Amino acid sequence: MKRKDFVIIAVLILAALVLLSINKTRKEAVFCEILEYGEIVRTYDLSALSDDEIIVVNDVEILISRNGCQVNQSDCPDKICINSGKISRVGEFIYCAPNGVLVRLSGESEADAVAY
Amino acid sequence: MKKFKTALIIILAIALVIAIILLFGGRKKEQVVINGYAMGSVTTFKYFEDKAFDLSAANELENLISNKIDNSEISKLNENLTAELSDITKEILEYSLKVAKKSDGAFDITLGKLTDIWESSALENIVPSENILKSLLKDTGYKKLKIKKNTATIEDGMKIDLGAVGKGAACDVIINAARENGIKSGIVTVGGSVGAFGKNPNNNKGWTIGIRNPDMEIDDQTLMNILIKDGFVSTSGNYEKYYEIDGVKYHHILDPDTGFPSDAGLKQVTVICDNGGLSDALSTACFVLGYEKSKELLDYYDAGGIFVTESDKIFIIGEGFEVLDK
Repeated sequence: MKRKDFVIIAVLILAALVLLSINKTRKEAVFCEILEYGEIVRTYDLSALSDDEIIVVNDVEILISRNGCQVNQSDCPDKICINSGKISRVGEFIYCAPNGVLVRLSGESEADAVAY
Repeated sequence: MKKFKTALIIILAIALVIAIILLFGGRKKEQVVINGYAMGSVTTFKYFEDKAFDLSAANELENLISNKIDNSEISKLNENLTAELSDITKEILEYSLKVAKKSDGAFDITLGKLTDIWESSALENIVPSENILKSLLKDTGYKKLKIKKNTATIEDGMKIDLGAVGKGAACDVIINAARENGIKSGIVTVGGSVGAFGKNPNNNKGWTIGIRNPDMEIDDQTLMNILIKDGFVSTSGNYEKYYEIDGVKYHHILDPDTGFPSDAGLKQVTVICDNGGLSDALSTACFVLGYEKSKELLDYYDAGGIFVTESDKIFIIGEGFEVLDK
Protein backbone atom coordinates (compact mmCIF):
# COMPACT_ATOMS: atom_id res chain seq x y z
CA MET A 1 0.00 0.00 0.00
CA LYS A 2 1.08 3.48 -0.73
CA ARG A 3 1.30 6.21 1.81
CA LYS A 4 -1.78 7.88 0.33
CA ASP A 5 -3.82 4.74 1.02
CA PHE A 6 -2.80 4.71 4.67
CA VAL A 7 -3.93 8.31 4.96
CA ILE A 8 -7.35 7.51 3.48
CA ILE A 9 -7.77 4.50 5.80
CA ALA A 10 -6.65 6.47 8.84
CA VAL A 11 -9.05 9.31 8.05
CA LEU A 12 -11.96 6.87 7.66
CA ILE A 13 -11.19 5.10 10.96
CA LEU A 14 -10.82 8.39 12.77
CA ALA A 15 -14.09 9.76 11.35
CA ALA A 16 -16.01 6.63 12.38
CA LEU A 17 -14.52 6.67 15.89
CA VAL A 18 -15.22 10.36 16.39
CA LEU A 19 -18.84 10.00 15.28
CA LEU A 20 -19.41 6.96 17.51
CA SER A 21 -17.90 8.67 20.52
CA ILE A 22 -20.15 11.70 19.98
CA ASN A 23 -23.12 9.35 19.88
CA LYS A 24 -22.08 7.66 23.12
CA THR A 25 -21.38 10.77 25.10
CA ARG A 26 -24.46 12.72 24.05
CA LYS A 27 -26.36 13.33 27.26
CA GLU A 28 -30.09 13.40 27.52
CA ALA A 29 -30.95 16.90 28.63
CA VAL A 30 -33.37 17.54 31.47
CA PHE A 31 -35.38 20.71 31.20
CA CYS A 32 -37.17 22.50 34.00
CA GLU A 33 -40.31 24.16 32.71
CA ILE A 34 -42.22 26.69 34.75
CA LEU A 35 -45.85 27.22 33.81
CA GLU A 36 -48.18 29.94 35.01
CA TYR A 37 -51.83 29.01 34.48
CA GLY A 38 -50.86 26.50 31.82
CA GLU A 39 -48.52 28.79 29.87
CA ILE A 40 -44.79 28.07 29.89
CA VAL A 41 -43.12 31.20 31.26
CA ARG A 42 -39.51 29.94 31.68
CA THR A 43 -37.50 26.93 30.58
CA TYR A 44 -34.07 25.95 31.96
CA ASP A 45 -31.69 23.33 30.63
CA LEU A 46 -30.53 21.91 33.97
CA SER A 47 -27.38 20.29 32.62
CA ALA A 48 -26.28 23.64 31.18
CA LEU A 49 -26.84 25.51 34.45
CA SER A 50 -23.62 26.75 36.05
CA ASP A 51 -25.03 28.30 39.24
CA ASP A 52 -28.25 27.83 41.17
CA GLU A 53 -30.94 30.25 40.17
CA ILE A 54 -33.89 31.58 42.10
CA ILE A 55 -36.93 32.81 40.25
CA VAL A 56 -40.22 34.19 41.59
CA VAL A 57 -43.33 33.43 39.53
CA ASN A 58 -46.68 34.67 40.83
CA ASP A 59 -45.44 34.84 44.45
CA VAL A 60 -43.90 31.37 44.26
CA GLU A 61 -40.12 31.32 44.83
CA ILE A 62 -38.49 28.47 42.94
CA LEU A 63 -34.91 27.24 43.31
CA ILE A 64 -33.44 25.79 40.14
CA SER A 65 -30.20 23.85 40.40
CA ARG A 66 -28.29 21.33 38.29
CA ASN A 67 -29.70 18.42 40.28
CA GLY A 68 -33.31 19.49 40.62
CA CYS A 69 -35.89 22.12 41.48
CA GLN A 70 -37.89 23.01 44.56
CA VAL A 71 -40.27 25.64 45.82
CA ASN A 72 -38.63 27.67 48.59
CA GLN A 73 -41.46 30.01 49.45
CA SER A 74 -45.06 30.60 48.51
CA ASP A 75 -47.90 32.70 49.89
CA CYS A 76 -50.43 29.90 49.35
CA PRO A 77 -52.38 28.67 52.41
CA ASP A 78 -51.65 24.94 52.27
CA LYS A 79 -47.91 24.97 51.29
CA ILE A 80 -48.32 21.69 49.40
CA CYS A 81 -45.84 23.01 46.82
CA ILE A 82 -43.14 23.61 49.46
CA ASN A 83 -43.83 20.25 51.10
CA SER A 84 -43.44 18.50 47.73
CA GLY A 85 -39.71 18.90 48.26
CA LYS A 86 -37.16 18.64 45.49
CA ILE A 87 -37.93 17.11 42.10
CA SER A 88 -35.05 15.63 40.14
CA ARG A 89 -36.38 13.22 37.53
CA VAL A 90 -38.10 13.63 34.20
CA GLY A 91 -41.87 13.60 34.65
CA GLU A 92 -41.87 14.87 38.23
CA PHE A 93 -43.65 18.10 38.98
CA ILE A 94 -44.60 20.50 41.75
CA TYR A 95 -47.93 22.23 41.51
CA CYS A 96 -49.05 25.28 43.49
CA ALA A 97 -52.78 25.31 42.73
CA PRO A 98 -53.67 28.57 44.53
CA ASN A 99 -51.07 30.46 42.48
CA GLY A 100 -51.52 28.46 39.27
CA VAL A 101 -47.79 27.67 39.10
CA LEU A 102 -46.47 24.36 37.83
CA VAL A 103 -42.78 23.40 37.93
CA ARG A 104 -41.98 20.26 35.97
CA LEU A 105 -39.03 18.37 34.62
CA SER A 106 -39.20 17.25 31.03
CA GLY A 107 -36.88 15.48 28.69
CA GLU A 108 -36.46 12.29 26.77
CA SER A 109 -38.58 9.52 28.24
CA GLU A 110 -39.26 6.01 27.07
CA ALA A 111 -43.02 6.49 27.24
CA ASP A 112 -44.92 8.98 25.08
CA ALA A 113 -47.26 9.69 28.01
CA VAL A 114 -48.08 8.40 31.48
CA ALA A 115 -51.59 7.45 32.60
CA TYR A 116 -52.27 7.99 36.30
CA MET B 1 -2.78 -6.43 -2.75
CA LYS B 2 -4.74 -3.86 -4.67
CA LYS B 3 -7.91 -5.91 -4.17
CA PHE B 4 -7.24 -6.09 -0.44
CA LYS B 5 -6.76 -2.35 -0.33
CA THR B 6 -10.01 -1.68 -2.20
CA ALA B 7 -11.90 -4.07 0.08
CA LEU B 8 -10.46 -2.38 3.17
CA ILE B 9 -11.50 1.05 1.98
CA ILE B 10 -15.02 -0.23 1.17
CA ILE B 11 -15.34 -1.80 4.65
CA LEU B 12 -14.20 1.38 6.33
CA ALA B 13 -16.53 3.47 4.21
CA ILE B 14 -19.43 1.22 5.29
CA ALA B 15 -18.33 1.62 8.94
CA LEU B 16 -18.41 5.37 8.46
CA VAL B 17 -21.92 5.26 7.01
CA ILE B 18 -23.10 3.08 9.93
CA ALA B 19 -21.60 5.54 12.38
CA ILE B 20 -23.41 8.41 10.66
CA ILE B 21 -26.70 6.46 10.72
CA LEU B 22 -26.21 5.70 14.44
CA LEU B 23 -25.60 9.34 15.13
CA PHE B 24 -28.38 10.92 13.12
CA GLY B 25 -30.84 8.10 12.41
CA GLY B 26 -31.95 7.68 16.02
CA ARG B 27 -33.07 11.26 16.32
CA LYS B 28 -36.71 11.71 17.01
CA LYS B 29 -38.96 13.57 14.65
CA GLU B 30 -39.38 17.15 15.75
CA GLN B 31 -42.48 17.44 17.90
CA VAL B 32 -44.62 20.39 18.84
CA VAL B 33 -45.77 20.41 22.47
CA ILE B 34 -48.53 22.72 23.62
CA ASN B 35 -49.85 23.08 27.14
CA GLY B 36 -53.07 24.30 28.65
CA TYR B 37 -55.18 23.95 31.74
CA ALA B 38 -58.63 22.36 31.70
CA MET B 39 -60.82 20.17 33.92
CA GLY B 40 -58.66 21.14 36.91
CA SER B 41 -55.62 19.59 35.23
CA VAL B 42 -52.64 20.37 33.10
CA THR B 43 -53.34 19.55 29.48
CA THR B 44 -50.59 18.64 27.03
CA PHE B 45 -50.76 17.86 23.33
CA LYS B 46 -47.82 16.63 21.26
CA TYR B 47 -47.95 16.55 17.49
CA PHE B 48 -45.52 16.51 14.62
CA GLU B 49 -46.65 19.01 12.01
CA ASP B 50 -45.92 22.63 11.38
CA LYS B 51 -49.48 23.76 12.06
CA ALA B 52 -50.92 26.18 14.56
CA PHE B 53 -53.24 24.56 17.09
CA ASP B 54 -54.54 25.30 20.57
CA LEU B 55 -56.35 23.45 23.32
CA SER B 56 -59.36 25.76 23.58
CA ALA B 57 -61.69 22.85 22.70
CA ALA B 58 -61.04 21.43 26.20
CA ASN B 59 -61.92 24.74 27.87
CA GLU B 60 -65.05 25.08 25.74
CA LEU B 61 -66.11 21.60 26.87
CA GLU B 62 -65.36 22.48 30.50
CA ASN B 63 -67.62 25.54 30.17
CA LEU B 64 -70.44 23.21 29.15
CA ILE B 65 -70.04 20.25 31.50
CA SER B 66 -68.35 21.45 34.70
CA ASN B 67 -70.61 21.75 37.74
CA LYS B 68 -68.04 24.16 39.19
CA ILE B 69 -68.62 26.73 36.44
CA ASP B 70 -71.71 28.92 36.79
CA ASN B 71 -73.97 28.82 33.77
CA SER B 72 -72.52 25.61 32.39
CA GLU B 73 -75.24 23.32 31.08
CA ILE B 74 -74.68 20.97 34.01
CA SER B 75 -74.84 23.83 36.54
CA LYS B 76 -78.10 24.97 34.98
CA LEU B 77 -79.42 21.42 35.18
CA ASN B 78 -78.45 21.18 38.86
CA GLU B 79 -80.04 24.53 39.64
CA ASN B 80 -83.23 24.41 37.58
CA LEU B 81 -83.68 20.60 37.52
CA THR B 82 -83.97 20.87 33.75
CA ALA B 83 -81.70 22.19 31.01
CA GLU B 84 -81.25 22.27 27.27
CA LEU B 85 -78.15 20.38 26.27
CA SER B 86 -75.69 20.81 23.46
CA ASP B 87 -75.05 17.66 21.42
CA ILE B 88 -71.70 17.02 23.11
CA THR B 89 -73.09 17.30 26.67
CA LYS B 90 -75.99 15.06 25.68
CA GLU B 91 -73.59 12.48 24.26
CA ILE B 92 -71.47 12.50 27.43
CA LEU B 93 -74.54 12.15 29.67
CA GLU B 94 -75.86 9.33 27.51
CA TYR B 95 -72.73 7.19 27.55
CA SER B 96 -72.33 7.90 31.27
CA LEU B 97 -75.88 6.62 31.85
CA LYS B 98 -75.15 3.56 29.76
CA VAL B 99 -72.02 2.72 31.78
CA ALA B 100 -74.11 3.28 34.94
CA LYS B 101 -76.69 0.80 33.67
CA LYS B 102 -74.16 -1.77 32.44
CA SER B 103 -72.28 -1.60 35.75
CA ASP B 104 -75.47 -1.93 37.83
CA GLY B 105 -74.96 1.55 39.22
CA ALA B 106 -71.31 1.12 40.24
CA PHE B 107 -70.64 4.16 38.10
CA ASP B 108 -72.98 7.01 38.91
CA ILE B 109 -72.80 10.69 37.89
CA THR B 110 -75.52 11.72 40.35
CA LEU B 111 -73.29 11.67 43.45
CA GLY B 112 -72.50 15.41 43.37
CA LYS B 113 -73.85 16.11 46.85
CA LEU B 114 -71.88 13.23 48.35
CA THR B 115 -68.66 14.54 46.86
CA ASP B 116 -69.53 17.99 48.27
CA ILE B 117 -70.07 16.62 51.79
CA TRP B 118 -66.74 14.73 51.70
CA GLU B 119 -64.95 17.88 50.55
CA SER B 120 -66.51 20.12 53.21
CA SER B 121 -66.13 17.52 55.98
CA ALA B 122 -62.45 17.04 55.13
CA LEU B 123 -61.90 20.78 55.56
CA GLU B 124 -63.40 20.49 59.07
CA ASN B 125 -61.34 17.33 59.68
CA ILE B 126 -64.38 15.11 60.29
CA VAL B 127 -65.63 11.98 58.56
CA PRO B 128 -69.23 12.40 57.34
CA SER B 129 -71.56 10.29 59.46
CA GLU B 130 -73.30 7.26 58.04
CA ASN B 131 -76.66 8.95 58.69
CA ILE B 132 -75.74 12.03 56.69
CA LEU B 133 -74.48 9.89 53.82
CA LYS B 134 -77.61 7.74 53.92
CA SER B 135 -79.88 10.76 53.78
CA LEU B 136 -77.92 12.20 50.84
CA LEU B 137 -78.00 8.86 49.03
CA LYS B 138 -81.80 9.16 48.81
CA ASP B 139 -81.31 11.94 46.27
CA THR B 140 -78.94 9.99 44.04
CA GLY B 141 -79.48 7.37 41.38
CA TYR B 142 -78.74 7.50 37.68
CA LYS B 143 -82.25 6.31 36.81
CA LYS B 144 -83.62 9.63 38.02
CA LEU B 145 -81.76 11.49 35.28
CA LYS B 146 -83.89 11.58 32.15
CA ILE B 147 -82.90 12.79 28.70
CA LYS B 148 -85.50 13.47 26.01
CA LYS B 149 -84.21 14.86 22.74
CA ASN B 150 -81.86 17.58 23.99
CA THR B 151 -83.58 18.25 27.30
CA ALA B 152 -82.35 16.72 30.53
CA THR B 153 -84.29 16.60 33.80
CA ILE B 154 -83.30 15.54 37.29
CA GLU B 155 -85.16 15.24 40.58
CA ASP B 156 -85.13 17.80 43.35
CA GLY B 157 -82.10 17.48 45.64
CA MET B 158 -79.95 15.78 43.03
CA LYS B 159 -76.59 17.02 41.76
CA ILE B 160 -74.90 15.85 38.58
CA ASP B 161 -71.10 15.71 38.66
CA LEU B 162 -69.20 14.77 35.50
CA GLY B 163 -65.82 14.92 37.23
CA ALA B 164 -65.27 11.21 36.59
CA VAL B 165 -65.45 11.60 32.80
CA GLY B 166 -64.32 15.20 32.22
CA LYS B 167 -60.62 14.54 31.56
CA GLY B 168 -61.23 11.70 29.13
CA ALA B 169 -63.97 13.67 27.37
CA ALA B 170 -61.49 16.57 27.04
CA CYS B 171 -59.03 14.16 25.35
CA ASP B 172 -61.81 13.30 22.88
CA VAL B 173 -62.56 16.91 21.93
CA ILE B 174 -58.88 17.83 21.58
CA ILE B 175 -58.24 14.90 19.24
CA ASN B 176 -61.37 15.71 17.23
CA ALA B 177 -60.29 19.34 16.94
CA ALA B 178 -56.79 18.29 15.88
CA ARG B 179 -58.17 16.03 13.17
CA GLU B 180 -60.43 18.85 11.93
CA ASN B 181 -57.33 21.04 11.73
CA GLY B 182 -55.63 18.50 9.47
CA ILE B 183 -53.24 17.17 12.13
CA LYS B 184 -52.57 13.54 11.28
CA SER B 185 -51.22 12.17 14.53
CA GLY B 186 -50.60 13.16 18.12
CA ILE B 187 -50.94 12.31 21.78
CA VAL B 188 -52.93 14.23 24.38
CA THR B 189 -52.94 14.11 28.16
CA VAL B 190 -55.49 15.80 30.40
CA GLY B 191 -54.24 15.13 33.91
CA GLY B 192 -53.69 11.37 33.91
CA SER B 193 -56.06 10.56 31.04
CA VAL B 194 -54.31 9.87 27.73
CA GLY B 195 -55.47 9.75 24.11
CA ALA B 196 -53.42 8.95 21.01
CA PHE B 197 -54.32 8.95 17.34
CA GLY B 198 -52.68 8.39 13.98
CA LYS B 199 -49.24 6.96 13.29
CA ASN B 200 -46.51 7.72 15.79
CA PRO B 201 -43.69 9.07 13.56
CA ASN B 202 -41.10 7.92 16.12
CA ASN B 203 -42.33 4.35 16.48
CA ASN B 204 -44.15 2.51 13.74
CA LYS B 205 -45.48 0.02 16.30
CA GLY B 206 -47.57 2.66 18.05
CA TRP B 207 -47.58 4.82 21.17
CA THR B 208 -45.92 3.84 24.43
CA ILE B 209 -48.02 4.70 27.49
CA GLY B 210 -46.59 4.33 30.98
CA ILE B 211 -48.98 3.18 33.69
CA ARG B 212 -48.24 4.81 37.02
CA ASN B 213 -47.07 2.61 39.84
CA PRO B 214 -49.83 2.94 42.47
CA ASP B 215 -47.34 2.56 45.34
CA MET B 216 -45.13 5.45 44.28
CA GLU B 217 -45.63 9.03 45.28
CA ILE B 218 -45.03 10.47 41.85
CA ASP B 219 -46.73 10.02 38.54
CA ASP B 220 -43.72 9.13 36.39
CA GLN B 221 -42.86 6.05 38.43
CA THR B 222 -44.39 3.50 36.15
CA LEU B 223 -45.60 0.01 36.87
CA MET B 224 -45.33 -1.00 33.22
CA ASN B 225 -45.39 0.38 29.72
CA ILE B 226 -48.07 -0.56 27.24
CA LEU B 227 -48.21 -0.07 23.50
CA ILE B 228 -51.38 1.09 21.76
CA LYS B 229 -52.01 1.81 18.08
CA ASP B 230 -54.77 4.32 18.59
CA GLY B 231 -57.07 4.90 21.53
CA PHE B 232 -57.48 6.13 25.06
CA VAL B 233 -56.04 5.09 28.40
CA SER B 234 -57.58 6.07 31.76
CA THR B 235 -56.52 5.09 35.23
CA SER B 236 -58.45 5.22 38.50
CA GLY B 237 -56.53 4.77 41.72
CA ASN B 238 -56.83 5.23 45.45
CA TYR B 239 -53.84 7.62 45.39
CA GLU B 240 -54.91 10.21 42.84
CA LYS B 241 -57.20 12.34 44.98
CA TYR B 242 -58.05 11.77 48.60
CA TYR B 243 -59.32 13.51 51.69
CA GLU B 244 -57.07 13.34 54.72
CA ILE B 245 -59.15 13.34 57.88
CA ASP B 246 -57.48 12.84 61.26
CA GLY B 247 -54.43 11.42 59.54
CA VAL B 248 -56.46 8.79 57.62
CA LYS B 249 -56.65 8.95 53.85
CA TYR B 250 -60.08 8.53 52.25
CA HIS B 251 -59.85 8.25 48.48
CA HIS B 252 -62.31 10.09 46.27
CA ILE B 253 -64.01 7.25 44.36
CA LEU B 254 -67.26 6.77 46.23
CA ASP B 255 -69.36 3.64 46.32
CA PRO B 256 -72.85 4.69 45.16
CA ASP B 257 -74.36 2.13 47.55
CA THR B 258 -72.76 3.37 50.76
CA GLY B 259 -71.46 6.89 50.05
CA PHE B 260 -68.10 5.84 51.49
CA PRO B 261 -64.91 5.39 49.44
CA SER B 262 -65.30 2.18 47.46
CA ASP B 263 -63.60 -0.87 48.86
CA ALA B 264 -63.46 -3.54 46.17
CA GLY B 265 -59.92 -4.71 46.87
CA LEU B 266 -58.18 -2.66 44.19
CA LYS B 267 -55.39 -0.13 44.27
CA GLN B 268 -55.68 0.82 40.65
CA VAL B 269 -57.52 0.08 37.43
CA THR B 270 -56.43 1.12 33.95
CA VAL B 271 -58.84 0.91 31.04
CA ILE B 272 -57.92 1.07 27.36
CA CYS B 273 -60.69 1.72 24.83
CA ASP B 274 -61.65 3.76 21.76
CA ASN B 275 -63.29 6.72 23.53
CA GLY B 276 -61.72 8.95 26.19
CA GLY B 277 -64.81 9.79 28.25
CA LEU B 278 -65.87 6.19 28.12
CA SER B 279 -62.47 4.90 29.26
CA ASP B 280 -62.64 7.33 32.22
CA ALA B 281 -66.14 6.12 33.12
CA LEU B 282 -65.15 2.47 32.78
CA SER B 283 -62.05 2.81 34.93
CA THR B 284 -64.15 4.35 37.73
CA ALA B 285 -66.84 1.67 37.30
CA CYS B 286 -64.23 -1.13 37.46
CA PHE B 287 -62.58 0.39 40.53
CA VAL B 288 -65.94 0.22 42.34
CA LEU B 289 -66.90 -3.20 40.94
CA GLY B 290 -63.63 -5.00 41.68
CA TYR B 291 -61.79 -7.29 39.27
CA GLU B 292 -64.19 -10.24 38.91
CA LYS B 293 -67.31 -8.18 38.26
CA SER B 294 -65.49 -5.88 35.82
CA LYS B 295 -64.69 -8.58 33.27
CA GLU B 296 -68.17 -8.64 31.74
CA LEU B 297 -68.36 -4.86 31.59
CA LEU B 298 -65.03 -4.50 29.78
CA ASP B 299 -65.94 -7.36 27.47
CA TYR B 300 -69.17 -5.58 26.51
CA TYR B 301 -67.24 -2.45 25.55
CA ASP B 302 -64.37 -4.35 23.87
CA ALA B 303 -62.09 -2.58 26.31
CA GLY B 304 -58.81 -3.71 27.86
CA GLY B 305 -58.06 -3.55 31.56
CA ILE B 306 -55.08 -3.71 33.92
CA PHE B 307 -56.02 -4.31 37.55
CA VAL B 308 -53.72 -3.96 40.56
CA THR B 309 -55.20 -5.50 43.68
CA GLU B 310 -54.49 -4.46 47.26
CA SER B 311 -52.38 -7.60 47.60
CA ASP B 312 -50.32 -6.44 44.58
CA LYS B 313 -51.63 -9.02 42.13
CA ILE B 314 -51.85 -7.75 38.57
CA PHE B 315 -54.58 -8.95 36.20
CA ILE B 316 -54.48 -8.03 32.55
CA ILE B 317 -57.56 -8.60 30.38
CA GLY B 318 -58.92 -7.66 26.97
CA GLU B 319 -57.35 -6.53 23.75
CA GLY B 320 -56.27 -3.35 22.03
CA PHE B 321 -52.90 -3.05 23.74
CA GLU B 322 -49.64 -4.85 24.26
CA VAL B 323 -47.74 -4.98 27.54
CA LEU B 324 -44.13 -4.02 26.83
CA ASP B 325 -42.55 -4.63 30.21
CA LYS B 326 -43.37 -5.10 33.83
